[in-house]
Amino acid sequence: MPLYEDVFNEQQTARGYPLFLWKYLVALILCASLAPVHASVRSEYEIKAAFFYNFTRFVNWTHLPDNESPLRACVIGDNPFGDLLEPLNGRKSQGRKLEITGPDDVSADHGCHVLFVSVSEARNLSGIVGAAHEQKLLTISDIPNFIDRGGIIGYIKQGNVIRFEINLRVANTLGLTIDSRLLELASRVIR
Amino acid sequence: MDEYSILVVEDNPDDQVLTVRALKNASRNSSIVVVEDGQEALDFLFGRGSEEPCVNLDLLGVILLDIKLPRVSGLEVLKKIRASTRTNWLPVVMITSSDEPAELVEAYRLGANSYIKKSIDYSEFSDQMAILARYWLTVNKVPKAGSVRQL
Amino acid sequence: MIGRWRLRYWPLKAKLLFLTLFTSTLGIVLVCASLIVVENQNYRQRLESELHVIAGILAEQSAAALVFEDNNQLTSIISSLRRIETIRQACVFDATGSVMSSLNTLESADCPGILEPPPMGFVGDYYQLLVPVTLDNETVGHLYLVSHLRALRAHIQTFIVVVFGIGALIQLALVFVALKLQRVVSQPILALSGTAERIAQEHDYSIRAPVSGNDELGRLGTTFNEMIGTIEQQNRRILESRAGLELIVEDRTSQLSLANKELEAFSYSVSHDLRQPLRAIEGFGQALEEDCADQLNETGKDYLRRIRAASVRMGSLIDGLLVLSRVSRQPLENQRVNISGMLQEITEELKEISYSLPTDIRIQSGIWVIGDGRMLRIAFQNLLENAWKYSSKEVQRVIDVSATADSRFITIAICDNGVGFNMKYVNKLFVAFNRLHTPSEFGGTGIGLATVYRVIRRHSGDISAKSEVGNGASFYIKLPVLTDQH
Repeated sequence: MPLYEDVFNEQQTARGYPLFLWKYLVALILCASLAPVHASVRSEYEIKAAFFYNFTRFVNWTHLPDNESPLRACVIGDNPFGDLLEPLNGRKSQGRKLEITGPDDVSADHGCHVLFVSVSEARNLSGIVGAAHEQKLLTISDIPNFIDRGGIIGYIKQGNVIRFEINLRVANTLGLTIDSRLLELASRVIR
Repeated sequence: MDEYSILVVEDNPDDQVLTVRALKNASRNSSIVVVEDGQEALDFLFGRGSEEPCVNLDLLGVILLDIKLPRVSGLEVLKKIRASTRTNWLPVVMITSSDEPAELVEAYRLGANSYIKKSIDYSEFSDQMAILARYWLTVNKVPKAGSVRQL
Repeated sequence: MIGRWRLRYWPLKAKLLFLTLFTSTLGIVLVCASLIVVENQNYRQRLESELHVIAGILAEQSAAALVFEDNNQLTSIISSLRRIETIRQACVFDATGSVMSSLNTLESADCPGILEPPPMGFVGDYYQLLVPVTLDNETVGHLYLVSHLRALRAHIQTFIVVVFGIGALIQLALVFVALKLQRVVSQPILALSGTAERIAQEHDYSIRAPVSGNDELGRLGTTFNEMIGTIEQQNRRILESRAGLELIVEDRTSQLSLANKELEAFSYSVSHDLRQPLRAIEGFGQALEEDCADQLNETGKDYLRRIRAASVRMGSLIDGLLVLSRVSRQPLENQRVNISGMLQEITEELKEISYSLPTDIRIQSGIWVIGDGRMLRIAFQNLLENAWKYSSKEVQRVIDVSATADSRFITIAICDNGVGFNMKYVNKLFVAFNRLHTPSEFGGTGIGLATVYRVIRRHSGDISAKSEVGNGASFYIKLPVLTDQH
């Protein structure tokens, strides 16, 4: 993202100073060749990572004691994001610091607040969901029909566009309030 | 000439004497009648009361009438003479000792035939009387009293 | 014509009305203008805050859609702006500044780049607004709104019409009120000026102005009335004193005419009664001389002659006095008099009476004056007789009459070559009974020049004399040049 922004800036400046155009052209070519995946077309998980972060910003944990304690996000199963979630580490969501960990056992209390369920855990899903409900976790996954199986937010793909579904009923049961604006964006909401 | 007489109306005795003297010198044969004031003159001409006058007016040639007279003034006498058909044809010569222009005008207005200012110089006065007697008694002709009345 | 339109030619009513209405109109216009300015300002602020509220709501709503890059949702959000007529353009930018969604009511406009943001606020006919879209204090995009100000213009136009309409209504009401109220001020002034005019025209100082109120106008009316009262009193006093004067004049006039009548009677009797004894003296003197001549010696005859001569002289004295009194009291009858012709006649008469020595008489022709012909004849007769008499002892008699005139006076000079007189006695010349020669030298009464003096004085003229003993005398008669009144 910052690189993209730089390139954009360079272009603007280059247009303003045509005599030095070659210098910026070289830089542009260098950047474009070095990071074609990041800059031109974002990968599916890049988008999903961004969504992941953004989901946390529209959900309110009513049972948390204060507003400043960090928000822990855990990934269960094979991490499909790779290191894409790393940049989110330390970012603020509703005033809370975001901490990304990857617990292997969901039953153990790791103090997670957000749980991403990898596709690899599809078979253990009911157990994971059950445990997550006990810990009042916000569950997010790209497992198909995730919300019908007790998950709260599920990624879906409509053509080339990544969308999401929300099970508000579960969220309400767990004491998680979801911002109506997020609900508006959801392609399906279970109430 | 002898048949005419002169009537002198003059109040002042001195003037009476001097006038008569001058007239006598001028015309010795004329008879001169002198009356002393206006009332006497009127009595002489018209008679006293209902009496007929004793004079024959046909013989009267001229009346010398002083203007300033006691009781009835000369101008009043003149007015009466002219007012009566009996006497209005009579020649009347006004005689005065002053020469008030207003008096002169009034005298002619009332029908005087002549107007004479008595001169202080007696020889001049005598001349005036001589001319007067000669003119009125010989030169001038007057109608008979009766013929005037008939007209 | 233009002058009539100047304020000072206007009647008071119009002036008062004009001033009132001018002031009220000015006030109303100023109030309207300030109302409009304030309303414009308020409406802009309202519009601005409304737009900010709208933009804020939209930014809030579009935050989620922005972060989730849901263009459809964004479009549906900003489409709601279509219901707000004044919105001309709306653009949503993401955090990088690229346009996520836009709404254009005008096809021509493109969303501007926000990295070099366009001027915000009121720009020309538009209000432009760029608000950040924030989520958790993080700017996730921008919302750009352009609202045209047609509504503002229309609103202000309507407001102007309404305000000026109300202003016109108020002004109408004020016209009505001013028409009524100006009478309060103008009525007493008009009444006062009307009264003053009436007094000036009718000269009736009993008229009083109606006094109303206790203000300056009331005091003016009271003061005016007091002034007129003073004038009335003074007028009455003047009239009274004039009536008194008239009475006095009448009284004096009647006294004077009585005295005149007495004088007339007196001179009549003088003329008649004084002459009669003289005539008697003279007459009897002559009668004595004629009738009793043989009884008188030469001495007696001489005495008689002297008596008669004295009587004649006294007679002419009386005549002279009568003439003098007559020229003093007779009214003047002014007419044009040909002095040259008159002098010619007199000299002819004089020649007839005595033509004993060669006589050269020169009379300037064409001397005309305005005056009483009979009196002037008496005067010039006297003067010529004098000249004739006092030059009778010369070898040749020369009498010269000439005239000079200026704009105000004509001066007639009568000069002879006679014996003249000593200028020492010139003051006695025109006084009655003063003679400068003995009766044995020249006969005369001493009244002639007094009579001349009287006649000339009555014509508002003057007479003077110049002489040298043995060298003749000159008399100068100065008469005013009067216009012919008859």
